[in-house]
Amino acid sequence: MTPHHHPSEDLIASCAAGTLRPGAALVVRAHLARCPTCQADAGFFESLGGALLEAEPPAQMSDAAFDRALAAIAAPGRRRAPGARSASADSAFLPKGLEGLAVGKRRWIGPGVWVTPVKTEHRSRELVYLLRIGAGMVLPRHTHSGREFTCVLEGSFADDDGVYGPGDFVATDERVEHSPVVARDGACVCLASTDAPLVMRDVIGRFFQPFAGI
Amino acid sequence: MKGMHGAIAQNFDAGRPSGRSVNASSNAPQRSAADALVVAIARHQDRDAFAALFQHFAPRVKSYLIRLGVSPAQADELAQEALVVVWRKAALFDPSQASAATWIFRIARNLRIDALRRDRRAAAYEPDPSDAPEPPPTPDVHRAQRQRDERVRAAVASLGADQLRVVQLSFFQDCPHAEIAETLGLPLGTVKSRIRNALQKLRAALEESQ
Ligand SMILES: [Zn+2]
Repeated sequence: MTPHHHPSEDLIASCAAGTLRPGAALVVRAHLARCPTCQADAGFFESLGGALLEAEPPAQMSDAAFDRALAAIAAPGRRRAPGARSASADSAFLPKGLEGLAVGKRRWIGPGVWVTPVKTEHRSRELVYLLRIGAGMVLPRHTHSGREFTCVLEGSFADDDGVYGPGDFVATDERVEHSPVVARDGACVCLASTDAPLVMRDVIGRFFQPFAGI
Repeated sequence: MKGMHGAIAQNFDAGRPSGRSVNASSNAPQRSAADALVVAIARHQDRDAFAALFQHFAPRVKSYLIRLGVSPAQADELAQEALVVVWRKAALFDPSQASAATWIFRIARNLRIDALRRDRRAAAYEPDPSDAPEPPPTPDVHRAQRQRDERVRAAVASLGADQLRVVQLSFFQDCPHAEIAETLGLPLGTVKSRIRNALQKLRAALEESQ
């Protein structure tokens, strides 16, 4: 089943151009991996990138540049050790398309509810996390701060605006206030990013007031 | 070393499909001379082909990176690195899926994202799906992707210098329209209509390819 809720064209363009914040780009890419329509759109923007690269006025390379490149191709390729890819043991449970992602310690918030911070290793103040919420759970009514992006990876949830299933992409900001309900037939796993200066404690507190103190 | 592809290398004009003119209505995927050079590297480790690719693309990659705000010295290094990646990953290049220019754009884009990360901490890892082989679509999808590259390239080539400039600013640099207007010393309305017109042309190229 293909997703019904998609990122804006601007988001797809800046993801393809490589100018989108890295955490937001992860969430957009999670959607692209599940949405052939947006993948084609991203492909168009990559074609545009190639065409614009061709149209660039050539810059003068340094004198030694070519010789250094020749020396580099003559040297044996640097190979990453096979183990170097999995940055943490916790990444074993990661959903499809996100294998190898560096994640922090999975935190139990309440029955059936886990939050896992995702490490983006960039000079970026974004917060990126995986959220797993048990079947049938209702989140307390909350608003959002900054620009937040969410991609449903597994299961589904609903709010006043609609139902969001696997691959669906949701953009929220301060104006959105909602109380999402997870479908009864299974847990919902989402990847989310926010550019607000939050820390994980804020996120947990905001979503799970009822569990505070557990 | 004079490789068997020396002739291709000498007559190299990456923008032009080799041996035939661009025919937008053709169903056959177009191959550019640059594609042939990457294939020559993959098959024969052809250093003449590498030299020709380097000469064409390294200065353009450098120019693109400087546009993104990378220092000229680092842009020079990253441009070298991009072409070294082209050499090492040449076997993964599939000219039925993408043009060499689009493939090299992805490599350069990802290297810059990597470089930003390296600045912060060494040896971090993030999945980088974009220059790895995609899950295999059907041959029809491949052909469509390859044709899209040609059509978008033709559409970009048909843009006027003014339109090209606003597309570069808005796509490569992600500039807000107001900032573009200030950079170019133009009224905001003019910038907006230029971007709109340029995107219409490019969109038309996309629609044709679907
Ligand atoms: Zn989509």
